[in-house]
Amino acid sequence: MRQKSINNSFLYFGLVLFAIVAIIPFLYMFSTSMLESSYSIPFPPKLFPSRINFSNYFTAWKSNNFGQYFANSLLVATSSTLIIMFVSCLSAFGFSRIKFPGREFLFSIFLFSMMVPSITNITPIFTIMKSLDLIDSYFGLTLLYSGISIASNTYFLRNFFLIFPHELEEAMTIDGGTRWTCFLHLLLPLSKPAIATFGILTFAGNWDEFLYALIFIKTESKRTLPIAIKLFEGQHLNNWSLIFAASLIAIVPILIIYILFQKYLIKGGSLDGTLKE
Amino acid sequence: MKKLFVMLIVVLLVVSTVYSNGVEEKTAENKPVEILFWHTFSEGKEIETFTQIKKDFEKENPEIKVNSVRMPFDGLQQQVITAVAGDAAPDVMRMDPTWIGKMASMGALVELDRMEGFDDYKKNAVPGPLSSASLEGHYYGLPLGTNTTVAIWNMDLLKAAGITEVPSTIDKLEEMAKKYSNPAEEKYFFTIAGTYTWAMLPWFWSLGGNLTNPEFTQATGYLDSPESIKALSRIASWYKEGLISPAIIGEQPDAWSASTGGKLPLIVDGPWFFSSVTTDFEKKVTMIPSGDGGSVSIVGGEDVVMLEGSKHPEESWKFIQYLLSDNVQLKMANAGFIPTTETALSKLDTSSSPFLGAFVKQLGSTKVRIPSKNYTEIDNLLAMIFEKVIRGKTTADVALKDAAAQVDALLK
Amino acid sequence: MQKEKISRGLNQWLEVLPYILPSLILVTLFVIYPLIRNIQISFFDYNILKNKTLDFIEFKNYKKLFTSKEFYLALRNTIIYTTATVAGQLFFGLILANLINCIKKGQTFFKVITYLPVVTSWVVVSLLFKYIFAAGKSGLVNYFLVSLNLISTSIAWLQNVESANFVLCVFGIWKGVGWTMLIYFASLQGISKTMYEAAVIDGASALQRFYKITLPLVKNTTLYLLTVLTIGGFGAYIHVMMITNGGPMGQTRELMNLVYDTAFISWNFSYASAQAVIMGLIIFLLSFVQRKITKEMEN
Repeated sequence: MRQKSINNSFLYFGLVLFAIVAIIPFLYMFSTSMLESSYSIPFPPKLFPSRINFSNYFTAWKSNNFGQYFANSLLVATSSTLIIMFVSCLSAFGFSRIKFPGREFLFSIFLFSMMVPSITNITPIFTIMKSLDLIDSYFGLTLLYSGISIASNTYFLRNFFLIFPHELEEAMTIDGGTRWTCFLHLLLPLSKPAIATFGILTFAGNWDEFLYALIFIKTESKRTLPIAIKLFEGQHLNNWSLIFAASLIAIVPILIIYILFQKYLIKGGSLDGTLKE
Repeated sequence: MKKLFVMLIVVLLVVSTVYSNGVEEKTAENKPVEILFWHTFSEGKEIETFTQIKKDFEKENPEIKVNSVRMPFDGLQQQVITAVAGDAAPDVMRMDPTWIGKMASMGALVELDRMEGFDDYKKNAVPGPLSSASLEGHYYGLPLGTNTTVAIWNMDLLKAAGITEVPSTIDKLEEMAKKYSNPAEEKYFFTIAGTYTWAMLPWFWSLGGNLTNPEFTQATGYLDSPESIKALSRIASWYKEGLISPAIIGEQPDAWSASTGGKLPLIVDGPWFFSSVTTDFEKKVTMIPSGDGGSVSIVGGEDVVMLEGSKHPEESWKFIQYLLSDNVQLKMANAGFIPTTETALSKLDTSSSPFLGAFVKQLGSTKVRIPSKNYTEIDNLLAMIFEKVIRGKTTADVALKDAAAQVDALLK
Repeated sequence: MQKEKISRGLNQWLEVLPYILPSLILVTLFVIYPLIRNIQISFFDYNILKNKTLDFIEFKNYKKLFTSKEFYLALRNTIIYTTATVAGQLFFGLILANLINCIKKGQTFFKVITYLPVVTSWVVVSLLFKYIFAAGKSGLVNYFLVSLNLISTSIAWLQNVESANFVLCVFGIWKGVGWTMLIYFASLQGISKTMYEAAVIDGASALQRFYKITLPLVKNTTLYLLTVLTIGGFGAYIHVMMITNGGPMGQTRELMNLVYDTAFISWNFSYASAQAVIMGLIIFLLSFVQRKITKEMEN
């Protein structure tokens, strides 16, 4: 028993160390956001606020259409995450559980396409978006987000889907199921941790996407949150306490989703039990 | 087949809910012509003033509607290029003058000197800022609002140090700094915000340094002249001897926070300084201390441009002219934009603010950044050699000679 | 025989098509087409504003790239950064995932805290790091190191190339560990507890369990992370812009900064495309080597 509690405290000690290192810049950010209108980041660094003052948070919410852009982001991030999850699961399933000629070759092309930096792709992408009349529409933005992340998502999910032995599908087919039912009722539920993780990461990525959101959404009222935060920056001056407050507000939805989906990230029991001996 | 069908339905459902929020409204041909205007006015006074101006314009010109879109300042240049390349550029925008050279040379901007009535505006524009909008004999923009940097003194600190009169020359300033600055106590009399050109050039120029000939076609003989070498070496010695703080090489505290925090007796900065000070101290604003080159500062501000590919050049030109009219310029002055037309400037009441007068005075003694299609490369080059010399990695004469040759190549 | 093979192949394609068709279309439109265009542009003089390719300049861009000093300097910096951050993130990420997996209470708490760096904007946290690693005794890191008597005088972190690169690497690891942890954690869920229990009964220590059970079983994840983190390491540029601004004197610039500057400051999209293509090839080579090494280690 003693050994266990010593081990345990050892574990917690390590975790607390990690936590401290992770959180220091945030303490800095948080205490700066408590200052009244600070145009410079406090130096020497201030980790603990001298006064608790949330006025910047209220100001941030009311300025630069923050509230509206926040709502827009919720809509875009949620719907695009759902669509991306759907398409990616299908794709990963196809690449991992179904044999077809040229599978590895096609997959390597997906992989290679992830490796060339996409920063110079802006113009060709613009051309495509324009010719498909996808400019200034959330649908277009969603398609774009799907397109640029799908190779990576397929790779990620495929890894998890490959783990399952073939006996899994055989067992299902024997029971009278098809490929599709196997996918829906067997593979997906068993991959909950992977899919939940992937969902969180996709949401987080779409939530703070700035560049394409700015280029392709032309109507001001439809803009998303990262743009609102950028608008707090002035040409010559930056009101850091305000910007930090705004940035911290922006993190909240991601954290909420992260916390809510925690239970899916952990798998109870083991894989072995699903197969009948 | 069934599974495909179900899949299709699900996708269509999700897609249509999303799509319905993003459908472009294809309305029938509206009467007024719409022009797109990009700006970077910030919330509060700037946008309020502008919105009023826009409404007045639309009232006077009911056949024109101005669709103004606020753009974030960071990455704006990238946005403009992408928009122009994708044929989705604005008609009119306020643009940083240093971008004009490149954009004009790539065919993105309309030659405003072709437009009717241009000459009147040319004659009325303040000459310093005007030259920033020219390239190879043509004008691609007109200065819309300008600003510059001046010397801002913390009188409380000066008085505490026994200084009653603000030094008007660089020699006097150096003398005072030698007595006041103490690196061990992290105490400095003044500093330069960085080795980038915006911060360095006012000092460089005031000390007698030069970048190019007046036509902006040659750097050799100017950038590497004995005066330039002397100017740069002097600034480098300030850093070496600890007269100015390490903010110049990017260390903390930077010039801004040291000054607004009440620790720096002198900072050279622009009008925006006054909206951000967090400590109360007695401020005095004067022209930059003069050296062999006089008291020379640097011109900033924005030029208004019209983008090539605009489908409504006539209406855009009307809007531009409106923005340059006296009463609009004076309204914008209230929001902090110093007028760029002689007529508006003459009507400007500088008594309304404690510092406006000094800025206007300094504006009469300024130089522009080199108007060139390779401006950014030149700028980066200058910043790099300034940094090398300040850090003591090379001497001014070697560095400037080398730079002059490179700048010459870039000016071709 | 041939006919059978072909018809079987076609059948397999028909079977898989509904699953991969959307992704194929999307990837082709938004990734493959731009990639091909990129490669094409790198061989021509290109006017970005008219989106027109002009004269064919063959390998001029590539020759220029391979003979430029800045390219090799940036390459060196990128390799340092990528190696350090990939190793750091894998190492700390796995340890962290394990630690969290082992405790009963507070899993969510620690997961959330270590994930915070991942979800905050690069611009904001890079800037904060710049202040944290400032020179002089007021810089946070200096303050701690001096108070704990680990160093006698403050270090000017950002004024020397070596220490500046060090700061950049620390930043990269700090920012990414939470992400790696999350993925490893998901992967750890796939390892059945019975295996660990059996090992404990056999008398294996924690370290042995880690080496013999955990490590091999997360191999696929590790390989995936190797590839993705390498790509991420090469693609990072904001941290350099905000923390060192490429300094001192442009010596900490990484490859992606080069591409960014070439594209958006010099507006030379043709050259930037060439740089991007070469970067892609380098990353591909690295992944290829990583794969080969991992396969060999397995045998």
